[in-house]
Amino acid sequence: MEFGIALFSNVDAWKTVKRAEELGFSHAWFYDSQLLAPDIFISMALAAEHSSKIKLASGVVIPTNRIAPVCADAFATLNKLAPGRIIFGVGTGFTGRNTMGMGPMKLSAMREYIRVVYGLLKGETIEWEFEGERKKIRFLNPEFGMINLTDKIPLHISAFAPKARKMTAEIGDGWITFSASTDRAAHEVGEMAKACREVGRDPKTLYTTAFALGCVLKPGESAASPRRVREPRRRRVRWRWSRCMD
Amino acid sequence: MAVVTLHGLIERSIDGLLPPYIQKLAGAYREQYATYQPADAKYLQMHKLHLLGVRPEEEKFLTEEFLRETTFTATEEVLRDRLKGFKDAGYNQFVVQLIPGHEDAIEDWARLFAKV
Repeated sequence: MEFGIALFSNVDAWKTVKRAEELGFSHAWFYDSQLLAPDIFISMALAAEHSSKIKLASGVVIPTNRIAPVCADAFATLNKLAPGRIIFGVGTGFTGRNTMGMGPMKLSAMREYIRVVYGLLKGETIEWEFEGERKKIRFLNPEFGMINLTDKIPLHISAFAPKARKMTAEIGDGWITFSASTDRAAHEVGEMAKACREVGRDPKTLYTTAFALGCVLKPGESAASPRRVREPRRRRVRWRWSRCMD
Repeated sequence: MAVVTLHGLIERSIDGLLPPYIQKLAGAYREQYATYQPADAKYLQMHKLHLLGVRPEEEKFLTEEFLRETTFTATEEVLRDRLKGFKDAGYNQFVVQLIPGHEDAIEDWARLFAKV
C-alpha cells in the first residue's frame, strides 16, 4: 500500500511536499477549497518545481470553481512542470461549495466537465456548451511545447454514493473515499468493487485511495486532552489538542 | 475531522447510520448553529477554521469518544493494526491530512507507515 499526504493548498506547501518525497511518500494531494485556502494550482505548481518523484494530485478539483477549458489548461501546464506526475482528482464539491452556502453539484454536470477536460487533454477538438451555446474548442498551440498533452493524467473520482461509484467504475482510473474506520473503509471498497463488476470491469484495475484525518498519539496521551500554547510574538493564545487538530 | 463531521451532519453531506451519541451531538450542534451569524449565511461562521482548527464554541463537542470514532487518532500500535485493515481490504493508497502549522506530524506518520 502506498502512502500519501493531503495538504491545504498554500504557497509554502511545497516544503512539506519536498519532505514527504524525502520520507518516501508516493503522493501529495491538494485541496481545491477557495476562500478557505489559497489557490490550488499555484500551490501545485510550486510543489512541482521543488520535487522530482512524488505524484501531485488535486484532492479534489471542484468543477464549478473554474470552466473546463481553464481546468484543462491548468493540468496541461502542471504536466509540463512535472511530466507524468500529475493526477486529476475531481469531486462534486462538499467543503468548497458548503463554505459558499451551496450543496454539491450535479453528478451529470461533473461527468460532462470531465468529458470536456479529457477531450482537450487528448488533443481533440470537442464541443463545449457555455452560456447556452455549443462551440468547438481545442488547444491551439500544443506543438510549441508550453504545455504537455503527451503524458497521461489519470482521473481519480471522489465518490460516496451508488451513482457516483457507477460513474467512477465506468470512466475513472482511480477512486477516492474518506474513512477513519477500518470497517467502514472495507465496506466502501467492497461497494466500489461491486460497482466495477456491474459495469463489467475488473475491480483490480481501479486504483483505490482512502483519505483520513487524525493524529498519532503518544502512549498514554488522550485524544481529547487540551494544552494551551501561548505565542508571545503573536500575542494570542492558540488552542492545541494533543497535537491533534481538526 | 471530528468537527468536519459535525459540519457535514448540519449540511447533510454525511449520510449513513451513526451511533446515537453522535446524533445527539449533532442535535446539540444544530441548536448552536441556529445562533450563527449572519442569519442568512450561517455557514460563514460555521466554516471559519474548517480543516484548520477548532473554534472555542466547538470544543465542547470534541469528546474522547467522538474523536476516536470519527478520526484516525490512536497510538502507533493501534493505528498500525487499523492500517493493516485498510491494506487487507485492498486499498492501494492511504492518505493522511497535514494541518497548516503542524506539518511536523509528517514525521510521526512516516514512522508509522514504515511499520505497515
